[in-house]
Amino acid sequence: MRARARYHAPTELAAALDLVADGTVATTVLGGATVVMPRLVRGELAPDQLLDLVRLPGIAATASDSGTTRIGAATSYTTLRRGLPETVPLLARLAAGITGGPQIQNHGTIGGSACHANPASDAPTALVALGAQMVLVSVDAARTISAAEFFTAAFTTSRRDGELLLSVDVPTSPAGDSWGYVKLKRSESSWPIVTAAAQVTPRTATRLVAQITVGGASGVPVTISLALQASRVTADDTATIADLLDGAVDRWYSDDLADDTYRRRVAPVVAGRAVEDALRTLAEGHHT
Amino acid sequence: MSTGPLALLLDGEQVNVDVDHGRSLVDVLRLDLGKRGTHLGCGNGDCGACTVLIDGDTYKACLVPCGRADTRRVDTVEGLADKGVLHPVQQAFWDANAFQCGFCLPGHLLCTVALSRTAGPATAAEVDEAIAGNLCRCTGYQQIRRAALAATSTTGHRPVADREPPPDPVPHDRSLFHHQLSPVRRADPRGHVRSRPAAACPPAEREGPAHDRPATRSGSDNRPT
Repeated sequence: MRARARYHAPTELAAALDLVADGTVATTVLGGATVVMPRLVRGELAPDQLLDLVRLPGIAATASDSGTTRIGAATSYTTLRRGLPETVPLLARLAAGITGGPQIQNHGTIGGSACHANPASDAPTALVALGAQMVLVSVDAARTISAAEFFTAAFTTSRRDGELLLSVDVPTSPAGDSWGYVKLKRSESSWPIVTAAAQVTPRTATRLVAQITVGGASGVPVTISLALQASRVTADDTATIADLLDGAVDRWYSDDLADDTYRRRVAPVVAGRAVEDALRTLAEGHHT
Repeated sequence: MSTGPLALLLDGEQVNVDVDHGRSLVDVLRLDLGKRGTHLGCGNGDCGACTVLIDGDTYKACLVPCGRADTRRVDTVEGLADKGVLHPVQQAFWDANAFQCGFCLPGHLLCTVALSRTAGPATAAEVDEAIAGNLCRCTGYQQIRRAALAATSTTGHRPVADREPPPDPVPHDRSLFHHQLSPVRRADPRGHVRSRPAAACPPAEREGPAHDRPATRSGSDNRPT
């Protein structure tokens, strides 16, 4: 019978990096552990060791200055809700909508969701929409890549063996911009099918530009941009969004919840609703 | 270190046990520490029947590697009652008949307890949000919502002007439930389940030793007794 994975919860980053440095030791890293624990218990995952980040100083905290908000990789959704409504309202909003109740909001982490890279998840979409920088460290090096470069395919990131995601760094969005977020799921307890984050920038009194990042259309989040001639989303705009998505999506995603045809039908609508949501926020004076 | 000492302040009592820190907290609670009040439902983080409080916050114990709870305060559903006296949240659930099989109770009770500890009376929307991580297969949730709302209205019977009304106001007496179509089952302290048809039930009465009828076996034929 295979030996149970050894559990480590180091209190120093250097010790954590040493633990993942040995490529011959299969390591599963724990953020919120919501995906990993059930798999471990069911025997679907059998690493040599578990590396729990929970005791690393700062790994679950946020810090903002005027230009950037640094979010520790193991920051919980509850912390995002409480700490970021003014600085990164999109993440505070997203965190409040995480499925599974306050318990899962206490468990789940933004970095864990990012590294899992499920196309159904909220975090990858939001991180790409925000232009977040992903800080990756190993025993010999540290590097920063954009969220768009981090997500390479469904359930796949460019994190290398021996690297840990340390933080996601979110640039402060321009003061006049408004954010919207909409996700489509068919039942309260279900994973989302399509997620969309919209950033609306007023150019003139009547012209606005909307940048929309859509998750669940492709295996990775895709971003499109369009100009709105009025402060609402018209049927033409939705048609434009559909065309833009067709251009941006290499291959439409398919899973147990929804196939590619379904996603291709609903994604433009969800994207349009995210823009409407941002326009509502704009009209209300940026209160999300 | 993987297998080693785990120290918990568990339902108010200091416990120490030697376990593999990678095992789930729900397994350690139930199998090593005898705390079977915390239930194992889905093992997937969906149903919430394994909910516990860790340092006052709600978590699903099937998702927690027990090492995370080391040196922390863990409160389970079993820690709510005080020497046989129900916790106010438990009493509110009892009063509202807000459970049937009881399997989901650890989650619903502890999430309501956590909400009751935040400042001010809760709105219906806040209650719904607080219990959203718990699945119930029996009740249809309405009684649970009422119980949780009643339990988190810190002003008791005083009206709170700017709070939205409960979704479905129900008088907090038992007559509504006595006239249900199905027999009301009451647990007899001697261990038998007594059941009698609704028509035979007396009108509204407070909970407590309610009968002076002899016990009948469960599955009885519903003759008026």
